[in-house]
Amino acid sequence: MTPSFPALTIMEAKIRQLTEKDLERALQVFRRSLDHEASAYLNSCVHCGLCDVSCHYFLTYHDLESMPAYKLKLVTDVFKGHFSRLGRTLPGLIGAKKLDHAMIRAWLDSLFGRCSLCGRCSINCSIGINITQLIRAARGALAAIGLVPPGLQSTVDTAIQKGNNMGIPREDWLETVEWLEEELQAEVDDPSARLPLDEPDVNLFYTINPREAMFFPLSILAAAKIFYAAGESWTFSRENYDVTNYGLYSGDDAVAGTLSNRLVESMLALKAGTLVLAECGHGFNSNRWEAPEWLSKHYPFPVKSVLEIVADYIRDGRIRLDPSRNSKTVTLHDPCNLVRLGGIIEEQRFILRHAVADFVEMTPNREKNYCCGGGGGQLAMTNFAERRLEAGRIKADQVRATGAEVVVTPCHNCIDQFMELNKHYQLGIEIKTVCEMVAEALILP
Amino acid sequence: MTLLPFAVLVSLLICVATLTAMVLRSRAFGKRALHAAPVATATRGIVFAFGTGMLPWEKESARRHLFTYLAGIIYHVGVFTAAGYVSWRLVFGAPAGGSALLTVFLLPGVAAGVFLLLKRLFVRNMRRLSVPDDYISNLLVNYLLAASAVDAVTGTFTPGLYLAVILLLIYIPLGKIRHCVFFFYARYLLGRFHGRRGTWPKPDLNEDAS
Ligand code: SF4
Ligand code: SF4
Repeated sequence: MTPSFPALTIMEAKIRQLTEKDLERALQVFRRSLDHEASAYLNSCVHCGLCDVSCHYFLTYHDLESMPAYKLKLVTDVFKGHFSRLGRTLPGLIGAKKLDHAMIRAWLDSLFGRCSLCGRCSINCSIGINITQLIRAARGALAAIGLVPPGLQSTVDTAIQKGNNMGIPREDWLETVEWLEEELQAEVDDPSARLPLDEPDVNLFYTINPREAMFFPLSILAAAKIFYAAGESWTFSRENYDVTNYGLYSGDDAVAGTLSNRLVESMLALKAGTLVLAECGHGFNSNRWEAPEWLSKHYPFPVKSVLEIVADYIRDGRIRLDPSRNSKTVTLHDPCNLVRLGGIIEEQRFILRHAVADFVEMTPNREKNYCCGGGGGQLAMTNFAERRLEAGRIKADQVRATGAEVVVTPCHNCIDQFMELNKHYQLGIEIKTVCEMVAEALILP
Repeated sequence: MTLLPFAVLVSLLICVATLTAMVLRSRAFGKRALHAAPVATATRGIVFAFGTGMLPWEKESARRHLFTYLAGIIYHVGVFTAAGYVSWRLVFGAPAGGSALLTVFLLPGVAAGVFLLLKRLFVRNMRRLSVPDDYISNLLVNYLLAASAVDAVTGTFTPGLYLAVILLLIYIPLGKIRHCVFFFYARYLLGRFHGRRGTWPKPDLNEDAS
């Protein structure tokens, strides 16, 4: 019996039109993305099922299709069916399968529609399989035949064509910066305070999530205010300021490399000291960890999260904070790409301990945190929106259990998901970035 | 009787040769150099991956599936005991005495194996996840553990024991028991991944107490 996938209706026509040649192309791309590490992982699963409870989709639906082991199996079955001698000889014994139309549907539904690439299953796997890496490799094969869910693909296309994922025209960006500069000057009461653009030879080259420019300009202002208070030399770029990289989620390494390379080129052109990534989980993972591999190059400059910079300001006494200005109970959500996959774990806690009066942890937290449900490109893939919200219940319950009034999260994707969770589950919370909390507590010089 | 130990050795050679070929084929996929600058040494992550990172208080999946996790450990203790017993038997012949004590490890191993089999059969998601290899692997190992236990007590089940060993050794490269090799590599790789990124082990909280 062919399972039906209602969430794939918008893609069904495309799936039906796939030819043998398309499938062959997808396989070639999949094969090219594998190295000996991936091959070892693909040979390792023992079907113990222990990883099931690590996935927020499984905890929500309790079905086979949401089990990380099943998602991994979809990938290993195809690997064995095409690239293993035993799989080709005795497919029934080990469950080897061919990449056909039915498998494409299963891949789309489970690997795009039931996974936020959060990496929680990998650290919980009995063997130690990097499941996330393999799911992403399969997404890349789908990307090669034009089968990335439309919302996600259009976000990638917009970034490639327009220079940022929101398609913000250059003039609008420049006007936003100008307006924010005036705001900053008014706020700090200093007409010389600036939001510099394309300033050469500065210490920091700062990037943002374009959603900030479009919907949350106050978070840009917050960062600018912190830089001002610290007396930092920094700059934005007129062109390349987008920290996001949805190629990470579509699985398309070439596109992902192109997007990240723009920041590298601007860094080199401006001769800036450090590439500083705004509060964006996947932007951090992409540009800090993955991009050097996509581009096969060692960066000649350090890449840091703005959280590392702000934590250093506090440690070095470059900024002073008054936590009593943030008197509400605050909890922290750890973005998977920044924390579990990025290694930025204690900085945000260190900062919050100095910036807020009452900080409580969620349980579990740090690298063991649950995904909020917004990662993996889920926010862009509207066809899976219902699942995203339902699977977000795990996070909503975690927030409720803390009794916090404010959820702080250093990621704009997470913020978007929290805004929806807030409405859907009536959490009654405020949602802020770390820099917004710091800016609020800042004692200006 | 003299033929069987010889057959065990031949199947061991076949097993090792096939697993080696498999590892080499896996390596032929190519190695990629890493370019991102690490924040910590990979070694700490690797040590964590093989140590604390496998314990229930660190690994939520183990904690939440505690019974299965413990069954898995008991099962593997049984396997290593059987491997040691068979090796002794092959090299030195029947133990002079006391081998019945090994049943302390072997019989719980059999019970754990049966538990894991029943779980696979009766838990719906597990059944749907499973392929024939999962059952064959389990039954072959269960048979080995049971045969070792019987032989350790009676000293007369040697042909049955050697047959179990031969079947298992021939089967290992075909199915999931190949994880006896790939487990170490996969865990090493995941440890290196999180070690370089500074996620494993967790930073010392006292480092940041200021
Ligand atoms: S990466 Fe996260 S969302 Fe995807 S299968 Fe693993 S636990 Fe689930
Ligand atoms: S925990 Fe690891 S080995 Fe076990 S089923 Fe999940 S992916 Fe496979």
